[in-house]
Amino acid sequence: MIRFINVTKQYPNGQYGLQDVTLEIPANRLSFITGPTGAGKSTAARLIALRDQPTGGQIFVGETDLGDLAGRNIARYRKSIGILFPDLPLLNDRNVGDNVALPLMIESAPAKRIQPRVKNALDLVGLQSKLNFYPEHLSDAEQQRVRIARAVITRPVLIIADEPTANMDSMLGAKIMAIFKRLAGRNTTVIITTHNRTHFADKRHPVFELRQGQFPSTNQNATEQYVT
Amino acid sequence: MLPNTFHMAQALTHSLKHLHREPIKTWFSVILSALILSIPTGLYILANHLEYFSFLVQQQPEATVFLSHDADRNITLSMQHRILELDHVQSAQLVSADESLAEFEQLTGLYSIANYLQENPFPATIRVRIAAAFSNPQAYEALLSQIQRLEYVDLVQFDYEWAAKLSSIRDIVKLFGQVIIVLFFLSVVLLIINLSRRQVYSRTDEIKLLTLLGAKRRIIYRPFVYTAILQSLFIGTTTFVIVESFRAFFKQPVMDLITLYQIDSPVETIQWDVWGVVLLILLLLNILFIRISVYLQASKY
Repeated sequence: MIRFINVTKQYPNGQYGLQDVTLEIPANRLSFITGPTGAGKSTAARLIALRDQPTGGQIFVGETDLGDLAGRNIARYRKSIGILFPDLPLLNDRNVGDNVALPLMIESAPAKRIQPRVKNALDLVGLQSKLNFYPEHLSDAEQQRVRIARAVITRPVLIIADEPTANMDSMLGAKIMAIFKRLAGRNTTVIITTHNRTHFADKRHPVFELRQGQFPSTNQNATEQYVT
Repeated sequence: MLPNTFHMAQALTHSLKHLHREPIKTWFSVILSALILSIPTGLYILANHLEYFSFLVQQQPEATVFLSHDADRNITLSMQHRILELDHVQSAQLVSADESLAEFEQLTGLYSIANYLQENPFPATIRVRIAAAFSNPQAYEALLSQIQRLEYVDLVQFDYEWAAKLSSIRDIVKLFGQVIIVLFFLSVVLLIINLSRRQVYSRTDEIKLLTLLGAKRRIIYRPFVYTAILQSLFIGTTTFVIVESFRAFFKQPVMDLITLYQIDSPVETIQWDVWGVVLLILLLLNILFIRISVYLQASKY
C-alpha cells in the first residue's frame, strides 16, 4: 500500500504541485491518478518514484517512509521499482534488446539470466521480433512498448507510469493499457497517471482525481470514494 | 564469461559504438586536441634537443695558453701534461712554435717570412678544451686564473664572454619555452574539460536514466570512463603521429647542422619516456574530468 499523509510539494517559484494531500493507493492492483493538466498527477508520480522530495508530509511505500531514504538506499529503492516517464527515452545508441536489458545490466546480472528475461519482457509487449532494432527504426507506440518492457524486466513490485498513452490514438492507448492490466495483481502494484478517462471507464480500478494539487474533498479516503 | 567482464565488455562496446556513431564529432575533437597537444609536446622535445645541442656547441670555445719563449720542448710537454691534469680539462693539444709559424704562413700566404726573421716570434701554445659538465662562466674564469698562475704561462686567451652570452641566451630561451609549454598545457587541460563537459551534455539522457533506474555511480561512470580512455588513446596516437612526422621532416637539416660540429645527437631517437608521460597525463586528466562531469550531472537527479 502507498500512503500519502498530508503531502505538499511546493516548487521554488512558489507554485504548488500538491497541497496537503492524503490518500491510500491499494497494493497489488492497477490504480489511476487522474485530473486535468496541472492538477499534480505527474508530481504525485515523481514523488512516489523518488524523483522529487515533498516539501511537507510523508509518503510510505509499504512500511518504508520515503523521506528516510538517503544515499545508497535511494538507489536500492529505485532499483526495486519500474518507472515509465515521458522524459526517460530509449537510448539511441543501443538496440531494443540492450535498452530493455538496461535495468538488469545495472544489477550486474549474468548474461545467461539477461537473455531470457529480455525475451519474456519483449513477448509481453509483443515486440520479440524487434530485438535487434534501434529505437530510431521504431514507431512512437513501439518505443513506448519497449519502455514498458524495460520497466517490467526486473519484475518490480511497483510500476509507476506517467501518462503512458499520451499522444497515442485510442486503439494504441487501449493496447498499452491492456499490458498494464495484465501486469497488475499478485505481487505487482501499478500506478498510472492519465487525463484520459476512457482508460478507467470500466470502473474496475481505483481512481484518484486531483484538482489543482488537491483532492476535491480534503482528507477523504479517495479509494473508497471512487472505487466501485 | 564472468558477469563483471560481460558488463565491462558491454560498456566498452557501447563506448566504441558511441564514438563510431558520430565520426565527425569524434575525430574533429580528437584532431583538434591532438593539434593543441602537439605544440607543448613538440616544444618539450625540441627544448630537450636544443638544450643538448646548445650544451655541446657551448663546449666549442677553447682556451689558448701562450707559453713563454724560454719554455723548451720538454717544458712544453710537461706543461701540456700539467694542464691536462687540471680538473675539468677535457683535452690539451700542444702546438709548437714551429707549427704556429707554419700555421701563420698558411693563413697569410707569407711563406718566406721566416727567412727574414732572426728567430721564430711565435711561442708554443696549448689549446685547452673544457669537460662537458663544466659549463658556467664563473667556472671558466676560475679555470682561467688557475692556468694563468702556472709557471711558463705568458697569457691565457679564453672566450668566456661568448660562453656567458650563450649561456644567458640559452637560459632565456629555456624559460620562454617552459612558459609556452605551461600555457599550452593549460589550454590542453581546458580543452579536455570542455570535451568532458560536451561528452556528458550530449548524453544527459543516459545519465538521468541510469541514475533513476538506481545504478551505482561506478556503473554510471563506466561507459564514460571507457570513452575517455579510448579518446585519450586516439588523441595520444594522433599527437605522436603529428610530432614525429615533424621531427622526421626536420631531421635531415638538423643532422646536417650538427654534423658540422662533429657531435652525436639524440635527434634520431624517439623519446618513448616523454610519450609515456604524455599518454599517462592525457588518460588521468580525461578520466578525472569525465568523472567530475558525470558526478555533477548525476547529482541533479
